Amino acid sequence: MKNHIKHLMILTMLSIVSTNVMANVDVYITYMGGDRTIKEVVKAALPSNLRIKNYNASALVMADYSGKQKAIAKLSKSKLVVVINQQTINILGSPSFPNYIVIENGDAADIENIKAKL
Amino acid sequence: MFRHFYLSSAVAACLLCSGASTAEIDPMGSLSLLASDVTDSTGGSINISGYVNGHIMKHNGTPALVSKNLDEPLFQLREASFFIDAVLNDSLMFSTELEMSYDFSNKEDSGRTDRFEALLNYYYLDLDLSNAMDWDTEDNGTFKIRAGRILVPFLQYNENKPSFKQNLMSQPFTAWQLAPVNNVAGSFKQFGWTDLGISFNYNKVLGDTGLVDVKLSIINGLGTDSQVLDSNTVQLDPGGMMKPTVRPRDGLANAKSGWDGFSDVNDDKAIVLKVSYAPFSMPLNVGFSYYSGAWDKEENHDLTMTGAHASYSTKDWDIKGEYLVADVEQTAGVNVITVPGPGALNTSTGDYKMSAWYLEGSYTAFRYDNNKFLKIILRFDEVDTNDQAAFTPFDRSRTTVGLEWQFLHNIRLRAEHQKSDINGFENAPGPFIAAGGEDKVTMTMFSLIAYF
Repeated sequence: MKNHIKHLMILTMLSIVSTNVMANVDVYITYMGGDRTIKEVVKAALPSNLRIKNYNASALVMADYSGKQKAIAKLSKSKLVVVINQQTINILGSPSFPNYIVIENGDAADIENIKAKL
Repeated sequence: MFRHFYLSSAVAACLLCSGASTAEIDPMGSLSLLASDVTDSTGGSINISGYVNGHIMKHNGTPALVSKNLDEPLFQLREASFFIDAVLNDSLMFSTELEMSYDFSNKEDSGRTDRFEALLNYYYLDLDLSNAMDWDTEDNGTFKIRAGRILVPFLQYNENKPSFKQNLMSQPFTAWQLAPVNNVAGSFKQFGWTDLGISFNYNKVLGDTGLVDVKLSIINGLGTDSQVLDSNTVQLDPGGMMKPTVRPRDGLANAKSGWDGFSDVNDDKAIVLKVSYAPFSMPLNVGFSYYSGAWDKEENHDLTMTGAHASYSTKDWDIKGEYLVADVEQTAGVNVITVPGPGALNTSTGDYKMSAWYLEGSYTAFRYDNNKFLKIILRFDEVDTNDQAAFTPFDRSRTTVGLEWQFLHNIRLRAEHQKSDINGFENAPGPFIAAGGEDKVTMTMFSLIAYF
């Protein structure tokens, strides 16, 4: 038990030190392998002052049982999750993010809808 | 005990089949609400999910032991588990799993010393280094580091052990006897195979072809204080005055490090490698795993395991399997069992091999009301925990048939029946047979599983 508590204390201290070191993300563009081009189009069309990151959900085909929960938790912390294609939502287990939008092809209408959500 | 279980099952079935709409029944609703409230109140930083399952299990053909009798029914709240993920920042996450268990059975039957047990099965930090460094993951892949008490990435079962993720409650021999995943029913020590260490995970999408994933881990490793690796002992109860203590040679179940331990029996670290590949053209996941480390105090003897896994999953079909061979270095000779009670002699076989495999298929035959279903399951598996021993009850083949009914959107009823054939039973020692050990062992289990 003593070691167990020691491990937790070390991990907690590391966690506290690491928290807030990095700024939060404004937009996460979530996609699967085949939609790489759409992802680039969307990223280029969004304002440059936003902190934008990509998340390739293809990796979830091999995630362990808590992998989806971890991915959803991480994505949910951003101000907006842009999900490219319904297939990507399906592999995430159809979560309801606090603020998200599903787009299909990254055309002008999609970009306008994304900007409206920001 | 059986009578109580059947009575409560009948009452539950009557309630479910009564005029009340099942849409109104949500026994896990309060937990789901609580988890949702926690997430909302922390701004999404803390995320909780979990599951609970209970079972009644009955064997026939196992030998009576002084400390337990598995031929008597075991009624247990097998696992109540909470997964907690805390998002510390965009690239760092803390995860833990609290597991609890309660044994309603007679202690003389289950062998459990405490009815209620709880522990943190794992606790670790996950650093997504590629995200923190803003790498182009398309070109360079994703690189993560996990440190703390981790689920050992070896084969496929251990990292996917929760019962609602599996088709059967009973574990395949690869997980039960070799990769030491779970030993809940008889002895609550640790649910998954977890160990203190660090794991490096690299994966890369190969264009439109597929995903390759590599996990390299350095952990304390498996080991025992004894001169033999499978050091577990049991005391047979054949009736009369003599109650011999023997080693059942039950594989590596007893070789896990303590869940709160900093180190195992030596300073030697074990290396674990797992490489997997998933093509995008089909729902397939294949891979191999490797483990190597010294298991004894003197660091003179290695345990080396190599295995492979494959799974193929569609909406209605789920086919999967694992194969595993373990090479054990061990000194041959007479080894005295030093436990309370009558002393006994064990003959160490020297170097030996363990092996196990399983093949499991399931088919969802009916779907209704959106997410309710009825599934049929069939599994074959074999194990041999010592290829040099004249007899071990864990040199056996087994067939398992099962039925799973998801009757509410997050609650399932599972029934499974197993028949094991013990190989080389003509060499079984007299006390084993006198205690009721038979060449065929059956097991029937009913489980209720709920998750949120």
